[in-house]
Amino acid sequence: MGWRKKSLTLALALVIGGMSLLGCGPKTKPTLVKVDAAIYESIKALHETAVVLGQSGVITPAQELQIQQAILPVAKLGESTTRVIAAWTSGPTPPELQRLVKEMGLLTTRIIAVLPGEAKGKAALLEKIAIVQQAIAVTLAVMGGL
Amino acid sequence: MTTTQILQWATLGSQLITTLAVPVASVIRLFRDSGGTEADADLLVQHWASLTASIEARIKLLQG
Repeated sequence: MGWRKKSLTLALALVIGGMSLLGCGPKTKPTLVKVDAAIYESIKALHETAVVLGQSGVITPAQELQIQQAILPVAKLGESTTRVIAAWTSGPTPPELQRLVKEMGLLTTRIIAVLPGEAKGKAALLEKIAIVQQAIAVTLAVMGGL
Repeated sequence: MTTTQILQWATLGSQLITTLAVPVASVIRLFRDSGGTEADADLLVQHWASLTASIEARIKLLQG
């Protein structure tokens, strides 16, 4: 198994484990903010990578448009989720944050689907997505108290 | 710890696990001992709003 495949498998395992742990037990506000911040950085990285690939002509304007349109609802969800977190005081993880984590996972699948086969720029986006998934997975695993 | 540092830390942690085979538990302990975030949720709301505006502007540009 190549390192990339191994790394993606590990990331997937950590994401699933982390997502299940996210719902367990009471959390502190810094914990929720930390997870939210990591997701924000991830979405921002995807948006900026798509812009760079679009501006340099590596992906077509139509492909970039599809990617940005896929990112937009997740960013809006992130904004509303963060408002919930800002008002949150104690108790279980807000369901909005769990939904945001789930949408983040679905978003990466949608982006991969936009770039079929061996499309130019696919490797760059896949690499970014792998890093993003690993980053979120590790953060969630840490937050879950493994 | 800033949001960028969190992501950098998490990425580094992943690399330690996948390329250097450092045990996951050790990386998690290291991360946890590095301290918590000081990120402010209110500030994060503004960051998300700016990102949403940036994406909307780019979509508008691409739609011509």
